[in-house]
Amino acid sequence: MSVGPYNYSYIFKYIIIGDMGVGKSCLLHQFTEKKFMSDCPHTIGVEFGTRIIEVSGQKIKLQIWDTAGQERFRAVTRSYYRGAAGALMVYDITRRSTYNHLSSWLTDTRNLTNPSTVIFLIGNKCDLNAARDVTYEEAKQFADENGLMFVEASAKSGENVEEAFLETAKKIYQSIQDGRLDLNAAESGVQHKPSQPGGRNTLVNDQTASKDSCSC
Amino acid sequence: MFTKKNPALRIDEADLKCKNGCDFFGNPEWDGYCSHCYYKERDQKKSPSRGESASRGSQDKDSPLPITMAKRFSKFEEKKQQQRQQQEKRNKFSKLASSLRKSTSIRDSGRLPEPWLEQSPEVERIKQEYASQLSSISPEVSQYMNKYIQALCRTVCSDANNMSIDELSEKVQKFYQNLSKCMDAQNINQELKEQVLDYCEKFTMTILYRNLFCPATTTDEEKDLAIQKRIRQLSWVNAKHLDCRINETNKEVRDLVYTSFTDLLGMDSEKAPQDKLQAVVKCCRNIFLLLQSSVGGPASADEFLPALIFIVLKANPARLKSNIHFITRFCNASRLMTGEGGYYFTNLCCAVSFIENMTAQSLSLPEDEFEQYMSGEVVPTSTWDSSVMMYEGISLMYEHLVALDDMHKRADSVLENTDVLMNKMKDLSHQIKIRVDDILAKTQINLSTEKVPTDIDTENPLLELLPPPIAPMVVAPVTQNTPESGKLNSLSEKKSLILPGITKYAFPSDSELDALGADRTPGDGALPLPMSDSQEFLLTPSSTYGFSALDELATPDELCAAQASLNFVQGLSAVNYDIDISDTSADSSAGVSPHPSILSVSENKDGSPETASVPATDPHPDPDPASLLDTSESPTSKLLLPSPMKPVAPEPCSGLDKESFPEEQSSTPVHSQGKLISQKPPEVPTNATSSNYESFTAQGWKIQSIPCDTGTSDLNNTNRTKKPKDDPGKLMYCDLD
Repeated sequence: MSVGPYNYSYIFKYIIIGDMGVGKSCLLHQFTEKKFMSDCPHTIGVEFGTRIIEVSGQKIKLQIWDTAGQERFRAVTRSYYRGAAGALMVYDITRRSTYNHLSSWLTDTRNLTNPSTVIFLIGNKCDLNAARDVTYEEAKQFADENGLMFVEASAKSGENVEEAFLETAKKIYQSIQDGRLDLNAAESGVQHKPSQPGGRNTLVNDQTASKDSCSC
Repeated sequence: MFTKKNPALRIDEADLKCKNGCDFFGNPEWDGYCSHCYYKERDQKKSPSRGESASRGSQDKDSPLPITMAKRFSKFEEKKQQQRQQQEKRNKFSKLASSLRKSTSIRDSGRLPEPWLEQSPEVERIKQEYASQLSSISPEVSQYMNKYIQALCRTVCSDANNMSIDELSEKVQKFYQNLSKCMDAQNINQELKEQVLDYCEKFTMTILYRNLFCPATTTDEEKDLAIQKRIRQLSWVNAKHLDCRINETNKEVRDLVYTSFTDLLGMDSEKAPQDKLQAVVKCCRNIFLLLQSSVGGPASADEFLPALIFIVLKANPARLKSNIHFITRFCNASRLMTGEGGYYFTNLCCAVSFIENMTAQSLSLPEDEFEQYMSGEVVPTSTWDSSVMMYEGISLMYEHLVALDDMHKRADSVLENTDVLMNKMKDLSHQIKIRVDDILAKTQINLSTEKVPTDIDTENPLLELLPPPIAPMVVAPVTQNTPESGKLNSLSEKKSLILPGITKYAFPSDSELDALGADRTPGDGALPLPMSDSQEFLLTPSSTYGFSALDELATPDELCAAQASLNFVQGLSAVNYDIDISDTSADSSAGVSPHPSILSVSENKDGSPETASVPATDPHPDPDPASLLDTSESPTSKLLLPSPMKPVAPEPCSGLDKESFPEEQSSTPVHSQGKLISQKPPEVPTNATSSNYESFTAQGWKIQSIPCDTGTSDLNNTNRTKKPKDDPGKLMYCDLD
């Protein structure tokens, strides 16, 4: 279990998906490396893929799971999706093939996560505008059609990276407030950290059930 | 056998009835009660014990809020009891069902000895590990904790065989939740709560490990074997097949690979699920590290998963599936949902399922090739194993090459040294030849005329005969002397005359010398004072090889010359000659002109009275100092000289005792021959002979075949020859070849 400050209210689990080489890890690094600079002075040690952010005055710990994007691993990586509150779907604007695979990624995500999971489409490498292969409009249309949030970002320059993660968190938090996201659901991907009665019980039960059904 | 045949006869129907006497049938599992009575009975038993424990608990507490605690406690108790009853109900049914199959389970459940109470050292260690944290929690909490733990252990131990693994898992997860809720209710701070939960998990899982890990009710073991076999079949898969960027040739990377193997294998040896998880985390961290050094930057999941698959394939951890199942079932679920451990464990699950479902397509290989590999018909060229073997072989080879290089160098240096030595030896022999030839050329003239008679002497028999005649020699001189001795004497005199002028004296041949020596011995005897001495020398067995020959020579001059020549032959520097000469001179001097001559010679040539003058006379360039020193050092001189010298003549003895003095040196050879020494003292005073000796010293003489009367002296000589510098130069007698 994460050792460290417990002064956050929620833990959100994100997953980053997308074809190989679209810059998933770079986005993650771009985002998490900042925790060392200002955001989280009390972070103890280097925690894996995590960063604490603040949404509406609530401290939220984002825990981001990077995934392997190779086609050959698609079949076995579904356990990544379990309990993800947010999914960042990444493609490379300079490689059309990565864009074309989005629909299959989206299908996986929809099938393997709960309906309230926030899916955020990110067109990475927008710093390479000259080599662009996928137009913003095209991707935007795709996002709108599927009800996704969308932004073009650059892991290299850091442009829009922060925004993408924060927007996702806001959306998730919103659904919690609205009650759309059931904190007690196993697959919510949200853990309410401070001692609050209720919720946990069912959460854990469902988790174990789902674990056992896992092929692993 | 009988009982089986007619059980009805053996068991009375009344025995089967409930013990309480109600008309229902009893059951051994219910202690002979019917179900109704059994539950009644049990509830009666339990309620008092409950009360006891509760009261005890409240007494123990001494807490500021005993009442509230008691209230809470009772609440918990109610809950617990409900739970337990439910469980027990369920258990009964399952037991009933199972008891029909297994009679053992009845016994187990009936008189369970509460195995969790037998605490293993591991459990003790865990307790100690968490002692500090646990001490900070309030006693109530710890009490609840212990209760929960006990309850869990009891149910699991009793029901492990009857419940499905999923049920057990559910129970354990509920246990975690209840604990957590309990702690939340106590408003324990988060950190402490985590630690307590951690402890409980570790504690219970360690105790229950035997029951929960790979239980017989599951097919885990078969799956373990299946995956193990599968991984073995896939042993040919290498990093390239997986597009895994592990730089196998880098030593650092290879070390990390091995470290991650170890970590992954360590998973099986841990008991608590979080420890197993920690092993996975460690392994994965190492993989990230090795990817970093392989790729040269932070690694992404795109690279990580293939690497993990590769590691799992190569490590082939024992009971992989059992471990994974154990973790998924009994690890605190919140741990698996989030956090590093959860992430890496998920990756591990992915890796395993990838391995299980691996096809030709997933390795981007043609179907037939994949099949061939799987069936073991073909082995891909560059497998990890072969590359590792190659690497190890190569590194070993390199080590050997280095060793070989070193040996080469050494061998070269040895060869060089031997070459140098060879050259030196050649030079030396050449020089010696030249000198010998030179000497021979000079001496031949002198000797040729007179040596003619020596031919007779050359006959070896004479030499052999010499030793025995020693005793008679004293008497013999007169008789024997007649022909040869006279000649010899004359020769020696002549030589002595000649020698002073000529530094080098060459004798024709060893044989001649020998002959001369042999001849002379008698001749010496003929001579009045000196000659007799010389004869005695000759006779005495102690005289050194060369010396003996010299001694045998009637004329001291000749003897000196012979010795000198010997020295040449040996390649010893003039030093040797000097010594030899001095010695010989001494010896010879005994015959013709004894010690005084030697002394005088030394004085004349060296300029310093002490140093042996002889060296100067010798042809060799490095004569005096070395010779002096050497003589002093030479063991022979020390050894030989003292004993004989001291008694005979004080002068020589002193010289002998002193190191590296010409006089001593000169005396040393003499000493070797005890008789000579003894005789010499009287002669020493006569100085006239000394001049003659000098000349002799200059002469070189080859004495090869002359048998040595004194083995010791010979040895000394030979030793000296071997070490030219050390050798005093006195006794450098070597055979000229």
